[in-house]
Amino acid sequence: MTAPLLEVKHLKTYFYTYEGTVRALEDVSFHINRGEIFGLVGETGCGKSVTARSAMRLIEAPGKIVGGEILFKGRDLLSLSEDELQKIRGNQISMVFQDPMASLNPLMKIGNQVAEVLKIHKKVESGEKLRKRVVEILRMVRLPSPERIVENYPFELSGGMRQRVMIAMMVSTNPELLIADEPTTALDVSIQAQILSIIKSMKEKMDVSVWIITHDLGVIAETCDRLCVMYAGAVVECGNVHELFQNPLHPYTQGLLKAIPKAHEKAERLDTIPGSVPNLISPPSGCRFHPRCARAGRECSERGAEKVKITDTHFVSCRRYTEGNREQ
Amino acid sequence: MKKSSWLDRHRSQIKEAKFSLFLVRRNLLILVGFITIGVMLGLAVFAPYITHYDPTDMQFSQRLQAPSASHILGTDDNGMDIFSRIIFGIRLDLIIAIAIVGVVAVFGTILGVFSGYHGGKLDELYMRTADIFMAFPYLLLAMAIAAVLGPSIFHSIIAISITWWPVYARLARGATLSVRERDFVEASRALGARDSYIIFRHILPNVIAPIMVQATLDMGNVILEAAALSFIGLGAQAPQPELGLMISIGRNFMRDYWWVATFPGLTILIMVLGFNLMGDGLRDLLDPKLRRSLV
Amino acid sequence: MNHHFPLLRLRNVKKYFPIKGGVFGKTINFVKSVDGVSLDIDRGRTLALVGESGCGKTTLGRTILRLTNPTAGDIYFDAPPQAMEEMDRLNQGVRDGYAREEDVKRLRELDDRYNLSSVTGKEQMRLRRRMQIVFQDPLSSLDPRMTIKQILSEPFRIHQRASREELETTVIGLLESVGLKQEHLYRYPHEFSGGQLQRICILRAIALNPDFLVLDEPTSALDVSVQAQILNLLKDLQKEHELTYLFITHDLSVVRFISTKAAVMYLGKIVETAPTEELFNNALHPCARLLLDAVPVADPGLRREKQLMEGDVPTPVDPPSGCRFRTRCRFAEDICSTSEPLLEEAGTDHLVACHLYGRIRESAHQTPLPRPGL
Repeated sequence: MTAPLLEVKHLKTYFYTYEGTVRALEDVSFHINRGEIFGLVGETGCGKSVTARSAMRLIEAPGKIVGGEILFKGRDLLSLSEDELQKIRGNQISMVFQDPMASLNPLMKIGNQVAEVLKIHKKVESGEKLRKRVVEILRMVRLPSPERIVENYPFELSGGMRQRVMIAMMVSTNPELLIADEPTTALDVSIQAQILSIIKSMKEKMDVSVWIITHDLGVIAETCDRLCVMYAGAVVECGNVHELFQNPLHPYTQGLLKAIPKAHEKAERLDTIPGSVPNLISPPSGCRFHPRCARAGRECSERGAEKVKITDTHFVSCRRYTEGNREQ
Repeated sequence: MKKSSWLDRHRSQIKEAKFSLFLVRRNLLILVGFITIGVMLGLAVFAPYITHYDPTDMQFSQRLQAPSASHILGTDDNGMDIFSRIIFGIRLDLIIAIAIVGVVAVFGTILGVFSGYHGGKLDELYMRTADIFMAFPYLLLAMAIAAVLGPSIFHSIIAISITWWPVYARLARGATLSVRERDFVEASRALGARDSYIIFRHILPNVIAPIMVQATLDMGNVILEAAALSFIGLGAQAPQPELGLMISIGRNFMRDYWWVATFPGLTILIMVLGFNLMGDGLRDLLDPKLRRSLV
Repeated sequence: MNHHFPLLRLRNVKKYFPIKGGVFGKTINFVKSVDGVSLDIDRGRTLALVGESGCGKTTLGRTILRLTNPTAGDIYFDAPPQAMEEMDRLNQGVRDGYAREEDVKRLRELDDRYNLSSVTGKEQMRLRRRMQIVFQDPLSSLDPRMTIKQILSEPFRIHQRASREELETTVIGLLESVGLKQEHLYRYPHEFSGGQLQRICILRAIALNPDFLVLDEPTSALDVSVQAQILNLLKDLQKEHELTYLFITHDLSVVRFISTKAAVMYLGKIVETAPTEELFNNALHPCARLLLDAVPVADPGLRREKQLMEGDVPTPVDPPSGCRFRTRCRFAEDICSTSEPLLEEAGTDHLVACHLYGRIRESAHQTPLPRPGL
């Protein structure tokens, strides 16, 4: 079994704010294999974006990574110097953000922006070769008439096209890992489908592993091979996509799946998870989900959750998990 | 269900106030600004109790005395105690500044909000008018007014006000344009609120912040303009204790009796600097996004 | 009185936004956001309005509420069948040219009473109480400088419906009915979560007991578990207060849960409308089918090769000739560019605007949404 591409071990990230210390990530561990599309799913405030930014060492004051390791191809990213990190960011690990308009320079033509990425990482010399490569990359993300688009400015393109440009820029350096933070959230359903299809084809054509961060379980179900579910700064369940959707074990995962309105069947009422997301300045003791959990017991609040291996791929952090197949 | 107490009703506001205090304490420059202005205000309010000299009392036997125990900052060429004149000068200049900024801010804001909210041709008209007033050089206007009505502080206030109000109209209009588009204004309209209700209950409270910042910064700017007018003789007249006038008088004695002009000059410097720091600080305090990131 | 007639009837509603250009700011073109929409919404039911961004659904919602004035068309609110018949008759008379003076007067009287497009003044105020709106982003829908108490008192204050002493009690009652507490009265919007804020927005909308609610993507900005709570709440409120909803959304899975009837919009026009179950089982218009197909389904067992819509969403400034969807439609033929398809009946209560729907239905290899278990 080959070593994982990215291994996050016991990651702890805190934010020191006026109101107190926000324990955004408390002992987060998971791994991403080569050649797979990995999904990190959770609701607002669960820490999934913080995890990605911690992996890229993009956490700034008042936040701080206070513990853990992030092993990329065996090297701990948290121990590298800023110079060494620059060689990895954008080159071996690239990140696509949610709002492409905010990530693109409104004053630069598209072609120049893509070219800049290539030049910074010394992938291609400037000139005709560079120009051809830029057009090639834009074509790969299925942009129509790429030769004309290189002359456009970001505001002349639609949201979906801009997102494609972002993806193009980020894969232009042939990274080994592409992190996509809510890549489709601001887009229409039809455009969403196109973008996801492009991401999948990227994986095939360029042999890049993709780490998708999203709150949309539908997106995960459609694109990912493996996923992890996060809640309030902790990973609660991990597994490959089929076993997790068919046999969710953690009460939160089960609750989440039941709360989604199903497009392919009619329901009278949606199941909800009682309570609300906890305050991470004073999170619940032990397992952070226990105040909302129907099955919680004394050990859950006193001793916290326990990581249990169900199969080689399926893990759940819960003392009281039960089989809970989704109703068909 | 019990009736809400005063504490219940103001809990959120108290929390915000405490946070503001915390931010001020952390940022040295803002603190300096607030303290400086606080001191200035104190001096202005308690002026008669701080000094026993009458600022306009001319004692020719005491003229041009260097700073000493009896006259802390010396005397000018008329024998008037400079320290008292400065204290009363602070009071006078603050009153002038408050008068100008107060009137101009209120008038300009109301005009700007109405203009921005209703838009259309009226908006165009108001804004072009504002442009004209703003383009007019206040110095020329002051000279013209002085030529017709005679130079005085009151007339200089008029001259400055006439050219200053467009700043607030512009500012208020810009802020109104952005607030007008927000969902909560739509929601109010959907509920059936009339325009006047929306302007007073929704637009105004949300545009006040940048107006307050501008007003604070302008206090310093206005003091400079008023002092400048007095310096050239169009504003305060001798023996009024006005800082610009004092510099003008002291100008002639700079070589041998430097204190006559220097201390008033320094005072103006400190006042304007204080208002600038306070204004910048207020801007940071009042901007919600900046507030959260300052922590 | 028999109340089984549609609460809202839209007839050929249009909303055009002028584009100014040139040196003198003349109007050179129009953004045809809503270009001839006719719909009926039944009392106590929910009509879902679906479509991509830019299709005009939000503009339609706002036009119904007169937050923006319609360029043309009629919006009849709570008009009994006799009144409708009379108005139709009189309108026909006006069109054909044989209307008498008293007919025109009578028509105006009826319009002032039932036609939202033309009401003004006091009548408009009265009608405002009967219809409200909930927006997508709860945080921006609330004035950040007002306390919750002030926000929820506003409807009463505007319509002078409660005395000052009663206000606090009434507002607390409202808060508690959705699980909020008295202590929340004097807090500010930024202190609450998205779900709580949306509940407050909903409370504000129903405070004066309206009949009709436009819900513009009310849960799109919320997390899944919070969305479920809000959707359940909306259903409960509908039953309890006999509310009629126009539910605007792009999320088709929510449509199936919340609505009894659905209408699909594209570039300012309705392209298909049907009872919700019928739409999901048997969508006929290519646009509707593609939208259904594109929805990510939370079940990896149902993964399939999707038919992707080509291209991007066009703008409503210069829509394509004939059928507007033809530029993105796999099945487009010549007739699609020369003649604009009108809504025609394809089943009970099922209307489609497509020249080729019959043939598409036959040649389709599968229905839009796969059935579980296949």
